[in-house]
Amino acid sequence: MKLTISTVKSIASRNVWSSDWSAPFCDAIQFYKKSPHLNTYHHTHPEWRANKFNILKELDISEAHPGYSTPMKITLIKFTQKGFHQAMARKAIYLPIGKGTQVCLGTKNNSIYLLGELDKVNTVPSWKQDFWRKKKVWSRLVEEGEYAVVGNMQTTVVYPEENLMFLEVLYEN
Amino acid sequence: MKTDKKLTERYAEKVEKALNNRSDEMYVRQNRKWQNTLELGEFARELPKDESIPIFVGASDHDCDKIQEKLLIYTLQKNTERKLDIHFLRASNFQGVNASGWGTPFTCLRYAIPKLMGFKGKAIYMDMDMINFRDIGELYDIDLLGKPFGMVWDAKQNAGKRGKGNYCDSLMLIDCEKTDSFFTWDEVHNWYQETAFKWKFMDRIQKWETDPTNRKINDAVTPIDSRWNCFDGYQTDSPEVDNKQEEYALNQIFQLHFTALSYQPWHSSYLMSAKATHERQDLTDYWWSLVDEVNRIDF
Repeated sequence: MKLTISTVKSIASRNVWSSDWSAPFCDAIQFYKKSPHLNTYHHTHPEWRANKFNILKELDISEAHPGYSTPMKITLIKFTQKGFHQAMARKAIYLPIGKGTQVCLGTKNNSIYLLGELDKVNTVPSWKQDFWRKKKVWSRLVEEGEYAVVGNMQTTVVYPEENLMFLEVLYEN
Repeated sequence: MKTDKKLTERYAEKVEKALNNRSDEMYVRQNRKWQNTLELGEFARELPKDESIPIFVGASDHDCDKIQEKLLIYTLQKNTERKLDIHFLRASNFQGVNASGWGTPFTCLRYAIPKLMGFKGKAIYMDMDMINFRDIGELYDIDLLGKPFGMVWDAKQNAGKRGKGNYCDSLMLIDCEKTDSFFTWDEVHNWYQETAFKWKFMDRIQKWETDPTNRKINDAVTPIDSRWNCFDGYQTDSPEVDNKQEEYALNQIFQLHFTALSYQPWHSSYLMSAKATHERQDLTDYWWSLVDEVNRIDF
């Protein structure tokens, strides 16, 4: 994922942010969104354009994880003070960008349940690594260079800590 | 178009000054007066009376637009030796504005310019989603031939019963002494009752006739070169062929306007429009090179 991470970091350093529906109040850059008719992406930065096909190739991780071959949406998300990533049920990977360990969470419960769990961590920080609550929530620590594969049909979310960045890659089902 | 380090440093001070002179303080004072009297006459007399070129920029209150605002100021300053007096028009600076029915957060603020100028002298209005390539002083010096406005012709604009084509007010050269005969301050500033004075305004400037050279003329608008308000690289005053207009090369454009909200490279977060890729990669590449240039300046 070296090419992906370096390209994304380079573009993020321009500090031109937008937003994404999946991350309310966060800063976001949508790099790519596949449409049924045309492969389109909104981000017009030349560096992304030059590397787009190689990045898509790099993000084909189907050898290790069958089914994760064709990205359909690639979004960089940076948490702000009040931002959060909307928990959702998708086949996706999360790639941390930059410094800081990130916590990925998953559950088969609904997204409101998971967001409620996040609130508890703000009250009792030591719970950050203990989201298990009756084994209904799993958590995983990931750092830059690693990626977390989150299974299809699971509610997933990244722990929101200000200025943490991660790339969310959604795959076709 | 390559970055000249010395040039960048040279304009850094100018840009910083313009950014700091976003008129916020001035408009706060102005708002106080509006709260009391809804009159701007006293405020208008406080505007500088030197030979600087007054430029009003329609802008939002959102941080996500700041990079584009920097680029606009930077390019305006970079391409002129004249003194510019740049003011941003933001809805939050105007008491009682209801922008919810407007197409953009600043749609109707432009019509306040004559009042802000005390109905004296010329002023330039432009939307914030533009970048400049040519001395803006040349636009300011255009003879309006006794009419209140100078605008470019937009052949694709929907003009209702008249079919397609109308003048476009996203960039205007305004003779503030003459606008009073065209619209009154009462019509413009009644933000509560008039959700969008723009449509009245656009309706009025549609009353044109065609002269022997096929130019649209009326009492309000003097047509100006369409390169001054170049919509996404297109020649706005050229006829449509197969639903497309002629295009300008990058080095022919005087002032570029990123009109398609979906395709703007920075994509403001308050816009609900879908994100998409701009058709003219040369324009967006240049925009990104300006981002790098401006980011190298330590504001």
